[in-house]
Amino acid sequence: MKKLGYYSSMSKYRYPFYILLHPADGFRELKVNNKFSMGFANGILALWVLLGILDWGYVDFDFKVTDRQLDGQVNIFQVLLTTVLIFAISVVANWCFCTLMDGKGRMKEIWVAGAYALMPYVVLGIVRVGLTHGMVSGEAVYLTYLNVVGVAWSALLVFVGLMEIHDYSGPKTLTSIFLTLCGVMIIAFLVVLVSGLATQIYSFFATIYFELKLRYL
Amino acid sequence: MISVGHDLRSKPRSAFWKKLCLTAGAALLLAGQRGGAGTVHADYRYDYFGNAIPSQYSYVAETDYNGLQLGVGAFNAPTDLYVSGDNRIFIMDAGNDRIVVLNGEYEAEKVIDEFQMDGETVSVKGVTGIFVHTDGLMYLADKAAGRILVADETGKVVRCITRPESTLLQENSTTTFLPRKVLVDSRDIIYMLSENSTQGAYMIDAGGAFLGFYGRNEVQLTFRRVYELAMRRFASEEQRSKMQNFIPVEFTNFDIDGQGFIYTVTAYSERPESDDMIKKLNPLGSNIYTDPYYSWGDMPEGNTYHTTYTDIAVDQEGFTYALDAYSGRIFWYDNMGRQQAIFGGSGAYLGAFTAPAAIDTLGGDVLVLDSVKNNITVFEPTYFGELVKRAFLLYNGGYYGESRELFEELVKMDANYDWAYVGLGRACYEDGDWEEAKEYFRSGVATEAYSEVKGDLRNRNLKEHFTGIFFGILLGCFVIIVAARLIGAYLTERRKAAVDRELK
Repeated sequence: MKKLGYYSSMSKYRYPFYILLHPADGFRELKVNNKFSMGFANGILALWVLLGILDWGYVDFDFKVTDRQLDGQVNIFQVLLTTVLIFAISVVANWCFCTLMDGKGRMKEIWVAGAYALMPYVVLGIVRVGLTHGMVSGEAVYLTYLNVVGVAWSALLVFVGLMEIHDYSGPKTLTSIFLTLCGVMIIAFLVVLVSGLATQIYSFFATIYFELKLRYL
Repeated sequence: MISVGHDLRSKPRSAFWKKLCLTAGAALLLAGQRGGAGTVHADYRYDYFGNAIPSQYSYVAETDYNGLQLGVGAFNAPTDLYVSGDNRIFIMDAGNDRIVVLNGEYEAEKVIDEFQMDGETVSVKGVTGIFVHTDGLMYLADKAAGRILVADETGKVVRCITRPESTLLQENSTTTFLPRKVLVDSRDIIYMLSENSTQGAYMIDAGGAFLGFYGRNEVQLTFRRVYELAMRRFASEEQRSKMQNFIPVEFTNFDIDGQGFIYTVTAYSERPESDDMIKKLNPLGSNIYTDPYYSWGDMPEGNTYHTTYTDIAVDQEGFTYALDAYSGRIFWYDNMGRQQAIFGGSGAYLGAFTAPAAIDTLGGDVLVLDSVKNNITVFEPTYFGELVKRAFLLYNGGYYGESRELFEELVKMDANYDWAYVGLGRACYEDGDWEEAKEYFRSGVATEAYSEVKGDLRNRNLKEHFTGIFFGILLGCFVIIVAARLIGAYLTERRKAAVDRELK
């Protein structure tokens, strides 16, 4: 408990960096002592959007591999969709399932823990995009390593973070992550379904409106 | 050394036909403006992404000659055309049972309509391939009679080659002896393509002995074929007999260049972007066109259209011209196998074909024989085509500096010309203009070359500014460390003060 007391004196802006290397202690205290900053978490998410844009349009020419990158036309909505929106859906799905599974985490905590956990991936990703401008394609393997490190680090943080936030055991965390993925798919399906239906309802009323308009107005 | 690999990760695009229609439309407009001179279809070529991009005209059909114009009577279903080393044109007019010889000015020189073998008259109606050797002898592939006739220009058959006796040539369904096309190399070895034989070319030496098979296509292992092979295990005998066999596609035609390399074409391929529809075979019979940037033929569009090569010609400079029987298009490749232009087309106009049968080159011209229109069409290179030839000859010969001006003009004339950008980039690189080279490689989508120039530029900059960079980094690290310490100390102070305040 002494340790917790010591670190509780740490600024909440310095705290995410402490979590990077001490995830178990860090996330525990994040929950117990409310040591989190919503602003910092959203800043990381903003950086993630930035990474999405950079990775699409601003990788140096010899590192562009997908047709999307070679085309070079960045679609900001698609970037938002694949970053922040997916993140939000995942948080909601995780909260839904973990509430049912005796999880102790609140939505806010899940959001912040998830964002903090993404920090290595996002920062290393931006570094990677920057490095493509100085490296040649023969050295691409180092950038791949960098990416792998970022992804693995973030995945580990997500795992530990969820475990601590919900006060779960390891296997239960894995189960909850699996269920969360299923939940994301269900939500995505519902979104597609609802938007499809909404379009049809809209077009139905629009047709009626135009019919009346052409007849009587 | 800097490679200009252009790994063409091409794939079929749905936009292809749309583009082609646009192209054709533009061509018709242009043809109208030009007064209808031999350009009914627009030239195009494929870009890095596999899209058909309209290009400048490289070859234009100037004239065509039928038998009546030449004063020898109409041709009747001619099957093959060969231009000999002394620039004489041999037309295998099989329907009329004769061979028509033209000189280099397209004037009839001789008609050989009587062939004598051992005192008897033989018919050449079934001949589908003709080759004229350096000693003046004509080699005729007589498919109908299953033999190769060797005749001189008086029509005397001096040699008749039938199926050779050899343990290497066991009689079975893939070793027919129905000569379709024939050619002879400088060692007097006869190469023959036999109808329905998938074994490659038959090699027969001057004494008539069978030497073996030369080159052959291979069946590419794809997921679909693996699946079919797996299914075959569970199929009954009857089902199996109805399944597709795994037999390679036979060569349709071939040609030989001055150095003895044999170029082959294959009529059908499911994946022209990765299969070797055109091969350049070395004396061992292995393909040397193996770089990933090669793309032979049109991109397939479903099952509606496949390039169906029927003949190939290689000129003295090594440029190859492959003829597509289906669309009447001629695919032009330089001596490294890079696609330079696609011209011709199908139709009844000058410069379009109904049933193109054979192609060959005479000087700078390209001759195409049509067996239904019964004429030969003469394509001549335009200014642009000449420029392409000169530029790529210099480039492929290693004269990069000399090719620079030509490439600059090519790029000016045709801004969508990937290979010209690559060539220009290389020329700039050799001249030391690396920044420019980098940009041109980017325009030509030559990622590898771009990357190498970038690396060279980086190393040059590092070398030139080493002291500055080194001390800059040192200073930067120092500043960052000091700043971090100061900020850390300040924050701790503030926190402590806050805690103290709370305690009070």
